[in-house]
Amino acid sequence: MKYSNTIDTISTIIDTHGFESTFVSYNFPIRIATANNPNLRSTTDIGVVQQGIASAIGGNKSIVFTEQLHAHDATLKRLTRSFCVIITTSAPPIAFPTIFTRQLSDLPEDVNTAVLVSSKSLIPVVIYLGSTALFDYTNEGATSSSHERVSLPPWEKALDKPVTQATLSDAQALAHKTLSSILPKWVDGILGSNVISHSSSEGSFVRFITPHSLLDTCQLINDKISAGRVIDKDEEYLSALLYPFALRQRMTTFHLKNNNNKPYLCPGCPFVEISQSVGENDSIYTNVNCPEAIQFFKLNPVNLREFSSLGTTSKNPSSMIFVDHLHNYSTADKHLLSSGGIIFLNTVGGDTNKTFKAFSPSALKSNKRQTSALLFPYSCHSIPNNKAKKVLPKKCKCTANGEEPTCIINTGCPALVLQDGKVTIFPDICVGCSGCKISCPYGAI
Amino acid sequence: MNYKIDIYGFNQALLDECFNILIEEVTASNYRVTTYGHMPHGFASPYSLALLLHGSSNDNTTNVLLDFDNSAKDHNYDIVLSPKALALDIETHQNHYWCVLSALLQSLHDTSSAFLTGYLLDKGRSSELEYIKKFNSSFNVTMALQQGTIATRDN
Repeated sequence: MKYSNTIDTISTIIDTHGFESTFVSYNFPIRIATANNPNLRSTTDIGVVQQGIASAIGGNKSIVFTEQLHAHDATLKRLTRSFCVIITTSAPPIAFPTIFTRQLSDLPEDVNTAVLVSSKSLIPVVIYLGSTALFDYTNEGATSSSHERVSLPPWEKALDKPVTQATLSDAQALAHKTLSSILPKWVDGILGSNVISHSSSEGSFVRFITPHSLLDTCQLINDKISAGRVIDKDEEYLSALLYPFALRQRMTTFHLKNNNNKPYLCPGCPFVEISQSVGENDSIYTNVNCPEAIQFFKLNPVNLREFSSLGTTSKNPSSMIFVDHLHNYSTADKHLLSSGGIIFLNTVGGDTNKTFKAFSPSALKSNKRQTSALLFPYSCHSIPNNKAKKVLPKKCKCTANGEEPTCIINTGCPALVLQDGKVTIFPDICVGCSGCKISCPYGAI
Repeated sequence: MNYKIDIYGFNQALLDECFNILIEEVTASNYRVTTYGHMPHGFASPYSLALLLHGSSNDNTTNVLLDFDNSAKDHNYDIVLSPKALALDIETHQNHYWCVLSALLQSLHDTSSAFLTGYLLDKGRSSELEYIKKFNSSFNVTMALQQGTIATRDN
């Protein structure tokens, strides 16, 4: 046979790379032949990625085939000892370096690249297989391309320590550097902009995205969209992919955020109000696992038990505030609440919980703190959607006075945009949380 | 001289063989070939892909449906080639695959089914060969197009 189909191509790839563990989700749209792959394991969609990563952490060369990469799959607790490649067929969240493969003939080379990047940076690499490549034919010569066996890093080099923000960031940077040296950032199609690309093999499309270069990629995609190089269907797809990073309407403020090195937060983020209620010398500790909020407010990630012990050893325990979700609290931890300055975010909803006092900014003042914790009315999972706020243009004077817009700097809210020297609120994004209202010194909101 | 061929079929092994023969034949006739895979809708749905054959620089394209197992709905194709349109029984030996492919090769400009029969001869597949010879002797593309058995819309 001169031409081989997708299924045979994938089997060849698994054999040539010597993947020691292969996980296939039941929902993966194409069947992968099991005859030549004794290590192939079919499993349910949920958890298949975690199994693959766990296997790679254990030192096995892993490959995972899944229909969908869930957001909770994207948490990485340790760096992997061996390489891990995840092949998915629907738009993945960009938590790992992601290569976009639209033609079947590109797949062997892209797996080579993914293996190289993953074994260098010790983080999993995702390949998004476009729908046109899912059942297609390619020349058999293409599958046995310039493949080199990648030498794995020695075991002592692989880190056994849990991943911190810094090590993960280093690994992501290394992955980005390696990928950039191999692949172009953008591929302009043969037929120009009139061809759909993520569902067709030709056309203009991004080649790879890494979390490290997300803002740059947003900028690039935005440029391409405004230059008319991307057709509507692709634009829709890319915008959906980059939605959390505020591509479409909020591009105008990117330079502002870039200069501050601060990310966007969810509209109505509870930490905005909490951070503005505490004093300047207070430090906030949290068990809420939100990288954006931790980076933005410089929070210290600890759990309640650790916070309690910190409180007993600290010289100035009255300057410490702890924030956690209410569902993380159990009555067995009641004795830990004595340190004061504890806020729970109400994940249960309503006023059903009478155990704790309602949150009020004045109760956070160090001289008024009591042993009981405070209950913030909502949590990250249940941000209420109130009427959108409006800006009074005559009172909005920050930029006119040569100051930086306080509402944007303090809240990190994606609904706030600086246009022509005035702050504008996008009503479809604003949830009416009043975070900007509190921070505005001129009462313009 | 431009064709867009939508291919549907359940039998993956035979589809591989047919595809290889088809590509061999059309590239020998100097067509520029592009393939587009389709997303499989589920495990019970047929394998499908589209084939673009560029034979001339004009924009006219003939849409062809190559449906090996009567699995697709035929709307707005210029030529429909399926066991149903060709009045073939779907055989347990799957011999109808070869007949449908043969009908396609006879329908395209500058291609013929000679390579297909040669392939079957080389492989020593006498039963398929006999079946396809019988089909070829009774099938005439021009007649079929005129009578409207394989054409669904006027060109």
